[in-house]
Amino acid sequence: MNSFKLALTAAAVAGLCGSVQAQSLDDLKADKSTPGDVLTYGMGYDMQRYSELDQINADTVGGLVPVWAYSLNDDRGQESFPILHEGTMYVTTHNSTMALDALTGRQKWKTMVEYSAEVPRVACCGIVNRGVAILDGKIFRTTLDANVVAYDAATGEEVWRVKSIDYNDGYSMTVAPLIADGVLITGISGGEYGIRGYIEGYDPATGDRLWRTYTVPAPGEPGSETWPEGDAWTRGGGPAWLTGSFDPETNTVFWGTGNAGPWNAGVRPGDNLYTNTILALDPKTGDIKWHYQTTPNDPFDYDATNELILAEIDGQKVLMQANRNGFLYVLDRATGKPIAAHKFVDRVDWAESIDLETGRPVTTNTYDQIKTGEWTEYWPSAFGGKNWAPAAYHPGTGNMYINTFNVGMSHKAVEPQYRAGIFYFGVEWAWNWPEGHRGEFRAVNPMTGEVAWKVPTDIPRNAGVLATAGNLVFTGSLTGEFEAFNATTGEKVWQFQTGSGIVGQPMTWEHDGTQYITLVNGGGAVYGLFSGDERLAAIPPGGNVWTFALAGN
Amino acid sequence: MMLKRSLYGAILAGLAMVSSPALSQDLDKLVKDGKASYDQLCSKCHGKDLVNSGASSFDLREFPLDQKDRFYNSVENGFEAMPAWGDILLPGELDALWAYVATKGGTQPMPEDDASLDAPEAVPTLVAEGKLTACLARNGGALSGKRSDGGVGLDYLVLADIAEALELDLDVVWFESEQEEESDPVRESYAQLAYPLCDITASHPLYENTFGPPHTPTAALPRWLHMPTTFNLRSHVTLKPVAVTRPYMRSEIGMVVRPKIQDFSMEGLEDLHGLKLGLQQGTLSGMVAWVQAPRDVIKTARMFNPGPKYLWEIEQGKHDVDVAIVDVTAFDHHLRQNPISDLRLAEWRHALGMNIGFAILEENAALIAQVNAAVDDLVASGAVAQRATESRMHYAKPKEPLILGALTQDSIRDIR
Repeated sequence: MNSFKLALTAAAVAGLCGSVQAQSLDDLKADKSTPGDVLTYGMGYDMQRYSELDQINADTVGGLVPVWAYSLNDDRGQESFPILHEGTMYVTTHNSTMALDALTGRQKWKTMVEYSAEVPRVACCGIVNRGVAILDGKIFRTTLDANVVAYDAATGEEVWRVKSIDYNDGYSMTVAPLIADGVLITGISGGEYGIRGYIEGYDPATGDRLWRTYTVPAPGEPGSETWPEGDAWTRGGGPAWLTGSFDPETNTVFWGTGNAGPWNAGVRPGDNLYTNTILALDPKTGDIKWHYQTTPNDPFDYDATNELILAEIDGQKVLMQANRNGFLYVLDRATGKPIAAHKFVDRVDWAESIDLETGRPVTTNTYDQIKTGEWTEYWPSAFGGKNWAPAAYHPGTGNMYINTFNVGMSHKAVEPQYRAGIFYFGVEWAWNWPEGHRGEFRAVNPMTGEVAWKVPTDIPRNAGVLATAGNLVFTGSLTGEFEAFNATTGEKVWQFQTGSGIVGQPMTWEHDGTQYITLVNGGGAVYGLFSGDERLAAIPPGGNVWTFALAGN
Repeated sequence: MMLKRSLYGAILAGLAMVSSPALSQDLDKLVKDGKASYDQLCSKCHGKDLVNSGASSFDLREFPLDQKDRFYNSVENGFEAMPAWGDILLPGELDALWAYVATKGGTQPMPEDDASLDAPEAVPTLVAEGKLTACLARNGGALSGKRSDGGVGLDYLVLADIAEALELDLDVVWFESEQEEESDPVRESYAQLAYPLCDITASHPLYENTFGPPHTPTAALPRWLHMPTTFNLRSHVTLKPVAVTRPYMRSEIGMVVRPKIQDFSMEGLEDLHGLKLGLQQGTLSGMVAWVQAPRDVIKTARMFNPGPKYLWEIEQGKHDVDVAIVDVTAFDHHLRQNPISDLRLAEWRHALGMNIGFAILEENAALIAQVNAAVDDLVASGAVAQRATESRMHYAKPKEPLILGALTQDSIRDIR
């Protein structure tokens, strides 16, 4: 226990020193109100992806032009959220970390990540990385082979590196870390590989691990009563592969967990806590304050990992999530009690509704039948009603802007075969494609479920969304167009062909009175890999960092 | 606890590079297996049913079918965006994947193997011109034994058949296999081939780590008949990589029953309740029983020392066991030496077995290819089974998996 105490002390000291360093914990808290910097994944601890900047607006957006582009020299899908601090932008790929001059796009340093040739096989859905966290002159990232690394932000030199776990057993990391209350928090990936998921806290100064909270309890621990006897829990899934949000007021981190494993739910009767669950955690200890499970005993791969957006609506402090399972949840973030839960896509087969009293889904025959081993069709598919790509919440319109999927799936449960480091599904499966468009960009009121507008797309968009006070929402398509829409009407007001598919996350910032928008493009990742959509054959891979501003600025 | 000395006496030796697709499997089965592996390993990047835009992963429908070696190399070692899989592929899995990809999921005929991909059609290198020289144990029981007019035993007879198929004379170097715990038949085999004392050795298990690069740089030779009196056995031989051929038989695990047990029948180890079980340390059969037999059976079971005395002790009633788990070949040896034995072998066989082939230096690709073809023919025609009958052996044909992966107590637990 000595090392634990030491680590806490070190964290405290580091926190004090931070006040004389560039970016402190207070800077991170204030990120939303300092548009000159973008220090947190999702543009603020609340992850609204909303900016008050309005120089680029529905009237001026026609003049939006590229300022610079920087080649990532990489053909994998690019999902990195750019972090900006005092004119330096930090971007990642699966195998590199770069610092760029934000005004010119010139590289300041680039540090490669080495991993062995076996590693990419343990990433189910794209060889990606989602970006860095920053604190006290250091930046932090995770690696595909499940290491957590700190670099000197000025030089790119490695400060420390910690191996979280052995990738050979199917574990990997793609998550952008979160720094909350002085603790560096990461989550593990690998829900398709028979892992036992967890979220971890590290000391940013030293890399000492402060805590690890498993998302699947061991026998005897709270929640273990929702697992069958035997060893199902050891391969029970519950990855935590997307960054959580943080409420400094209550000192609570919110983090979603993914599917239970294997997909064949018949071999793990019970609710299977804390898979498919929204967790409220104490950042210092990892203790679970409350939990809310969205899909109990999940047979569909309906992860609850999607971003947890914090907002104040009608005086209530809420947490919102457009879940893979097709429901848009609004929870009281003090208690985890649902306030609203509406379907945000047209077809949701597995449940009629969510009972707001009990918090549990009112399930259908589909939910029961799929566990029997019969071929069962279900919509939305494992891509979800919404996939990983983060939505934005615009407090002005009160809408969430969501890239939705309109794809179904069928599967049949079979005996799962466990082999370390290899897919552990226990199902045979096939896609069910719709006749027409496979996705829609939607504006949805989270409290009422009302769809303000929707823009269909043949190939579903799977890029992040950015909303601004300029009454605009930005997103991108898998065919390469970076796009702006009128937030009120859904009218497309601008687009630019970036040269490769977009699965990245736009963000905005300002410098000397000019508003900039930055986006990482580079096609690939889950839809491109899994769908076999041959219409993408003419869209080359190859990522760039693009930065835009109004012409003349 | 890893498998150390799994089979009786002379059986161990070891290596394997098997290039042709697996044992008497027809193409449909191979493609079906390939699809199962593809779905699990490959589909996430190369698309379900091979359908893929080619934008972010190679479109395997376009893979040039005359570049099988490229396919194998890319899968095993990785190439650019492709991860390496060589360390976790199961025996035969790569052949199945190739069959699935090359036939486009079974919709196209299998392309003819490009002859240039196989071992070059060179003339085999032989220790003595016109002869296939084999090292065989002089005291190898049912597997090999020297006679004034040649030899007996399954290994001897099958090697004679192979030599005939290769239009060579069989010449045997008879060596003394040490039936001591310390001797390592696999290493002896490496030494005999590297010296070179002979072209081929027999009874080599197709087990991970029994072939390929040597585990030690040098090893000692066992004593052999007509060994020059000036030869210093302590001067070690520098070893070379060794390959195993296609298998000609399978070593299986069975249950020996003492006469006092009447009407014995069993379907699995769980049927042994109430019986006193004998098992032998350091053998595969012993480990299987230890891991899989019901706890109440293990509590009363008796453990016997390694070595050939095991079945004699059972025969003599030592510890008064009722049944004894054995490697079937060991029982054949026992019967050979004690034809009036009261012990009988139950019908039951355990699911875990190991294919047995011959060992040849890896560099002698031409000989490997010729022996492979001959072995496959002899197995398929039933000639090997016939030779086993002549040798009074219980014979089992080779089975998948071709090469047994590393065994641990954990992995054995699941093989039933």
